[in-house]
Amino acid sequence: MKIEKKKNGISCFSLANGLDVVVIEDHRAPVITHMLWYKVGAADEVAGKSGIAHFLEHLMFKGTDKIAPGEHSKIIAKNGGQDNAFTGQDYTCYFERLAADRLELAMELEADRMTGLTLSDEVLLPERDVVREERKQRTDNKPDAIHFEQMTAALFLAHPYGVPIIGWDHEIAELNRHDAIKFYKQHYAPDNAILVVAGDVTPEQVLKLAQKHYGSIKSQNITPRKRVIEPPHMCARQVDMFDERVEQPQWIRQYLAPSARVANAEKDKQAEALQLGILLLAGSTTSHLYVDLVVNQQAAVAAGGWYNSVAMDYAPLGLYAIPREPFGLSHMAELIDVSVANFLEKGPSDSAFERAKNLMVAESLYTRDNQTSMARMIGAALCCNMTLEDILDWPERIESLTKADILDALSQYIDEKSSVTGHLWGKDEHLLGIGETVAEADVNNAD
Amino acid sequence: MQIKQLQLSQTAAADLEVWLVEDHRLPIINIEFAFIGGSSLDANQHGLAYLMSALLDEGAGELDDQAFHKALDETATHLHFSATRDIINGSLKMLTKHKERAADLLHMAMFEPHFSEAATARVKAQIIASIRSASTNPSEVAAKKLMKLCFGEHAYGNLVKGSEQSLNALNQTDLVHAAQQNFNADHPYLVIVGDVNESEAEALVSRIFSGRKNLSKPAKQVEEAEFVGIGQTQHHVMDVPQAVVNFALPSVAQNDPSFMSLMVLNHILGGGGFSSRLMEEIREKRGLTYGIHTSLIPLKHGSLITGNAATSADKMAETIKILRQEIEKMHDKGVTDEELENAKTYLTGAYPLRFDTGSKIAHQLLSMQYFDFGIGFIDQRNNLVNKVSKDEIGIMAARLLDVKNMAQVTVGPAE
Repeated sequence: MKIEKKKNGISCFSLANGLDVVVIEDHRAPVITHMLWYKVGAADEVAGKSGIAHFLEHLMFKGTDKIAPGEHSKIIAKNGGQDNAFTGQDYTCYFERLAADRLELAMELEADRMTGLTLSDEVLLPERDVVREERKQRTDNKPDAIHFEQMTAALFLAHPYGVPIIGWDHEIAELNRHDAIKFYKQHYAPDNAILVVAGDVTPEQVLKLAQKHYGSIKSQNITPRKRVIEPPHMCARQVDMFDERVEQPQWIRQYLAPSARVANAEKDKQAEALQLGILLLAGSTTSHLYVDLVVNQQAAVAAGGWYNSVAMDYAPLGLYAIPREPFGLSHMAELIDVSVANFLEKGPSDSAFERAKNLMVAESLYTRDNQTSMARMIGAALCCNMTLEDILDWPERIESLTKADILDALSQYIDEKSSVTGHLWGKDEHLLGIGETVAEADVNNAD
Repeated sequence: MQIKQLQLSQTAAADLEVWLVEDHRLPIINIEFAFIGGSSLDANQHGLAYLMSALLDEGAGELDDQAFHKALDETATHLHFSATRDIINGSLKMLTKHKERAADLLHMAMFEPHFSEAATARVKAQIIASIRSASTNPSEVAAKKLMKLCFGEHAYGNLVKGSEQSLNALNQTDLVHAAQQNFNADHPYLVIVGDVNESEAEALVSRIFSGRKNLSKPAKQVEEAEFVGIGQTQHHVMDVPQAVVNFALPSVAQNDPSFMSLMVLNHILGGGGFSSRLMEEIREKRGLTYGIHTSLIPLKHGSLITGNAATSADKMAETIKILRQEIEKMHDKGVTDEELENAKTYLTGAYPLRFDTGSKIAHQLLSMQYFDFGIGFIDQRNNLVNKVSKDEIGIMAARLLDVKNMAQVTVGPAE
């Protein structure tokens, strides 16, 4: 087993059974973060079984032949550690944070439940209720979360990213032991997992322990994920929601865009161009959209945007605005379209461009202050079939971008036809009327 | 980890408590600081401290609002202020190569803020938008109503953000006065962690505080807050699928000699995640909720033990019944030897997890300063946890966990 050393204290190796291992050395505190990532998430569920990836994540704490239900977390806690797990569209991750000398405990427990899960209805049924309560807490109790869920479902015409990670409630309600075990056997194996260990440990120590605990687990020859591709998007969609609970209306738009992996396969550095581009367009209080709408026109209380590029297939470009009285929600689309078109035509100033680059490069340095953030960033990226080089060379790639790169990338994906625009209306409908008059007056006066 | 206490000669900062942890492995410096004050000094001007702290980076010194934000971005400096009930908190994260400029920006923000009309109107609108959003979020409503129920007319009973009406009444003179009152008050706390040596750290602090009018007197006194919500329950009707419950009991201050046993007690009751009794009974065994937690809120003039949970409206009665039973049980019988042992191994073993990043170290040390635990606390803390006995916990439980005293707010459909 050969350890390959990269920069910034990062190294990697693979076990014979296909388990990929990354070590992030950080010797500042006697602490480690152990993260086991499976390359399977909500987007890998079959139709009608939405929520099974996330439900299984909960059930993984319900015991094995060796460990009684609920004992995993208790053993970690007794050893002064913390543990939890999370599920995404493309990955499921289980983690433990412990004193550095307890790394082996995390490996022992995590290796055990990679193949040893046992489930009874006695523990499964109350946990399904817990998940349904979780869905209510995260989504059903919040109009803005329901609205965003509906918008995302409308954005994807065919791809499973349109289905929420936690699942639709009526489908969660029917998930059973058979579904969980089937999904587990299909996807949980060393050759479908990535181990990331960060903290006060050397790669040699990790190799020795990983070999001991994970090395004997058999590879399952898991076939690589194959997802459907979106058909061409031919028309803009609008998703409006009216909810009496809403006191603060908001405007949101999502454009279909490729993930970092896909964007860079299409064209080198295109993902970085989108990241830097969205920062300049809408990502901060000095961005074009914020200055235009919030500071100058005073038409919005807040305005911003996002591009969360780490995903297997697609990563929507998003924009949002919260109207400022007396402007109304109905004028946000037009104001934003004009502002965005303006940016795409003129581009950022030289100083803004350099400032944004410096900022992004500095952020990657700040991330290195936090071993858990580093482990999380690297694990998620590798689960989305990115490489360590994609992450390690990222600052240089950002620095090499030109203004034309970012404008080309944004122009390509800011396309009305592949967008969904959402209006979340509250009970104060009258704002609409006032907004219309004032907005027109203001547009006429704009410089 | 070596913590140094710096002695500053400069008058403007002579009353400052400054601790330094040098770490040169990354070219980053984290500063965290706190001034006694916050929203408890707002008097009738609810939301003043919060608005003031939100405006400090919206124009200061020779820079207008946009220029100030650009200056922060140019140097990749993160500057944040926040107002709580007792303090104005701040943090500054910077690259070593820009430390002087970052310090100057912090200085300007605290001592030369503009509070311009346009920026004030903008930030007021932002805060009002967030108050409106929160007003339809059942968890936020329950938390707000609970503080009112517990503390009534005391300043602690008000929302730190204020209200639409109170914010609209605030003007520039109020803001200037609030900044002076908070930042010139006696004995602020400050911690520096990162790529800086002792003399550089002293120079940075001097730079930040130069010209400060050290008033050499404490911030305006705040009255002790009486817990007036004893045994009261309140239901607020909101048409949501899932109801929430927030509850509180009067507690003791963080510097109370029994605080350590209270901390262990809270861990066993509901502070310890999956291993707590409330999680075990309400989530694990019965699947009633996604999470139920309790925490200690050590306010300067009136502390609380609080907790919250969310569950489908038709399961709320059962959830509250079990919650009350469990509190009563712990009040009467305390904790078991096994629970105490497990709590100790967790709390002592997990202590280093609070010190694995520069900003976490700065944050931990700042709270040690604030609660007056002394610079040596970090080495004694685990011994103090290990010394806690089952009897001491039993005494605390009997003293504080009287379910008859519990204040409780539920938000959800009509009962």
